[in-house]
Amino acid sequence: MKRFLICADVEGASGVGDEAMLSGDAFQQVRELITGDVNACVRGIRRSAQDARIDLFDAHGLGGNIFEEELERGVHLLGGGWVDILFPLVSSGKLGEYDGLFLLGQHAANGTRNGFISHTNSEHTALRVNGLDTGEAEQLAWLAGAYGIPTLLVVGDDAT
Amino acid sequence: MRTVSVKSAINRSSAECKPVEDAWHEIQAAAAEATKGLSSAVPCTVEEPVQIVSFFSHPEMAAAAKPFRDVTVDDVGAVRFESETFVDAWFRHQAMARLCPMLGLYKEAFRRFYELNGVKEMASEINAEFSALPFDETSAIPDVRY
Repeated sequence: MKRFLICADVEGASGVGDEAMLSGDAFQQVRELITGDVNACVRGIRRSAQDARIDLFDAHGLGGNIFEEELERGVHLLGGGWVDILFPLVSSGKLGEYDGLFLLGQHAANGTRNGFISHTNSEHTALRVNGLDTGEAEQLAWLAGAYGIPTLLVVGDDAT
Repeated sequence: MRTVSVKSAINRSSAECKPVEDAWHEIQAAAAEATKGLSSAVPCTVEEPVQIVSFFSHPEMAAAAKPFRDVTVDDVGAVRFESETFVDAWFRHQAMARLCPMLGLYKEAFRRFYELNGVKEMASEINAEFSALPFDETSAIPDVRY
């Protein structure tokens, strides 16, 4: 049985087109939208690997973005927060137990020209690796790559 | 690796999105195709050892929530370091991004940056200071957007 990890951020979710959606009551719509993206991805994975185990990392802020009760059946929500979820996955090497990584809701790195809500980890930090400006999607893909895990799909805006 | 763009990014505050149903259809199709091609997929890797430069905007600017795109070199502090592996370097960057503001190291990093008028390797000193601290202390930082 194949195991896949979905990392879902929100700024690059389908239908999120205004920064104002990221705060206040409007954020509930963002939650619906990223949950919809996750479900679309899950349906796609299952079309090709019906019995796959699919884990979901709610990667925006400290989590709590995904409507768990609306998820496709059988998706295992790991929780949210890079410190609480991602750090242990990486440091323990459990990231290497997956067969593939899916990145949803991705946004461009800080300073990207024409990026939508572009940032890297926070609004006030940026990262350059071997001379390359590096966003969160690259970080996640390289972390998985360090354990031999391919990143199979990236979904986000066209500047990501 | 496949990519799906669900919107045209225009600027920081707005973007032109595809109809959501169209985007979901595209995501589903791409995910199915990507899963089907798993056996030939290649991991994304970066050449090691790696050199990382972590940039931090000025504390006063952070307080004013100045967008990073408006930052000039005069506003920015930077720490450069090298690691044998990307994973190790990544943890150092993450630790600095989270711990430096909390511990006052942020300010010290800027002081040194301005003194040197450029990027200075000081990873060993800073690493020594935060290496004893557990990562989970950082979860109290309220202003986090990933």
